[in-house]
Amino acid sequence: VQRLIILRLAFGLIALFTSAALLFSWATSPPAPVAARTAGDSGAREAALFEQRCGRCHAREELLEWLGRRSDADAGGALLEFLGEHGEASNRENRTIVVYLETLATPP
Amino acid sequence: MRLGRAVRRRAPLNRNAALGAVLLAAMGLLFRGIVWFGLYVAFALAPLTVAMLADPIVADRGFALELGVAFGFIAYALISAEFALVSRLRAASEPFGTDSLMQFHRYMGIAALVFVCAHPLAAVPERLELADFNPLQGGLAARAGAIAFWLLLLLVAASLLRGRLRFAYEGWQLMHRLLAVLIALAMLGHVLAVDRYTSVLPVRVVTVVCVAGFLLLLLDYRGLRLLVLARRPWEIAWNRDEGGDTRTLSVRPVGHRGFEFAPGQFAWIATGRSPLTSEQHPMSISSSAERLPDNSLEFSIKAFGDWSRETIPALLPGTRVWIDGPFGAFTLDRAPGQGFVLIAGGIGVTPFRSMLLTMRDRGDRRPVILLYAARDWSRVVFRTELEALAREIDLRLVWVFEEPEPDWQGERGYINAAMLERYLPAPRDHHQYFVCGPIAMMDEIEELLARAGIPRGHIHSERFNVV
Repeated sequence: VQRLIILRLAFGLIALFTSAALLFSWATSPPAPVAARTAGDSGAREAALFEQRCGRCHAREELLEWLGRRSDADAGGALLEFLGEHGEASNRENRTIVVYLETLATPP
Repeated sequence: MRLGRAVRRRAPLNRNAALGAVLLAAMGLLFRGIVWFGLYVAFALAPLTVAMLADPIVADRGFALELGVAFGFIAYALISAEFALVSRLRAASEPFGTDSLMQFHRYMGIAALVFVCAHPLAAVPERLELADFNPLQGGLAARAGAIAFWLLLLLVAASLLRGRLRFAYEGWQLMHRLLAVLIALAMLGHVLAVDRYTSVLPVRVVTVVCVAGFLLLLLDYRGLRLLVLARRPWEIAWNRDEGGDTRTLSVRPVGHRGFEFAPGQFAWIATGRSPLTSEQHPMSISSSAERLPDNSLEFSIKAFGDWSRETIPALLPGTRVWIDGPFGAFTLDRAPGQGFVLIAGGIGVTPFRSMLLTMRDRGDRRPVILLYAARDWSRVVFRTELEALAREIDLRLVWVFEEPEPDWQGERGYINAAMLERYLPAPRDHHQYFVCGPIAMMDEIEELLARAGIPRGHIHSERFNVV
């Protein structure tokens, strides 16, 4: 009886911890590039997020130009760092914005 | 013991008052249990949560890689928390019972191994090679990770197979502790050497705190607590042969007042020159929980292994021993019921002796049925005492013999469903049921009781050979 209860509890905890691991992965992994999404997904959500978090002070072209001037491979990382220091968005939102801008900056 | 005191205030006991006191104490324990369980879950998720909030990684990392990292953090915290489950922290073990924590420790150890295996499989499946598990190859992070993995695999395998391999308990216990320390240090080395999430202070702090907590508990368990124990010696008052290969030791405290306990609880006994150098053995306390004038305790020990067969009979009056207790949740003080059914197999009767003597001393008039299974009369201990108790309290004795004399008129064979039908009192869900004996017997009886309609929460047992 007791062993069964403890076994169920252990399985419940394993499920809880696995869910937490999935949440962690979702929160810390970058979103897929806009261009890699399905044709129906135009990137409108990312554009709206950009407008909400950055658009009041910065034009999209301004940041695209800044990205274009960077020749190093980690331009996205530098931009992510900048956003982390200057905005109130979460890490995941910042990543989404960086991926959105990088996608726009990359020639098709 | 708080529960014992709660019940003892009234003597002789009024049934409703006793039920109320036990119910109140049980509610308090339930609340404390919930708090401790919450703390455990919070601890297990702490490194993962801090890593997610700090999130210092700016490079592109895929979902699978992050999932692997998450599994690693969870395994890390679970392994760090494992020792806390079996380190005899009284405040933590009181709500659950030591044997429940030991079983939980076992299951979560296996769960930690599963998370450890999932860690590289999810993180780097495309470039995972057997060579990555070679502790002699690669950088510090890879080596430390491989060492932790193999040691954990060895630890879990040795625990699961100890019985089949006939690995002596003392040797296994020593190896278990040593491996646990090495695993904790190798894990810490791996996490710090990877230097991704731990590159930021909060994550670094939480990972170091996990392992430091583990090591501090070990230091307390194998150092400070043994020093305290050494300063509170007990001595053998008498050592009596009870028949059936069983001896009862009476021990009294020397220079201190001993401790209170609840009937059915157990304590760890160390014999030899010092508790620092001796292994400890868990034994049920078989005396009344109502204190004797000299605060003495009794333990009834059956000869099973080297320690009980050779050391115990040689303990003469005046010999120093060390007692760490009380522990366990197998006590009628926690079980509000209008009466009790006690089912004993062989030496499993020892905690019931304590319960019955305590009921007598408290004037507890609730009805009790004791079904005592043994091979034959030669294996029965406390026969005279139990028969005397049956005249003093509301106790019905049912002897069940596996191989009785030909003229035996009572119950014979193993305890079965038909036998339970004959003796289980009505209303069944108003009673509490305690089972103590060989593991196979307890498994069987628990199942029979459940099938007989006894609510599972009313069936109590205690197992110590979980490894």
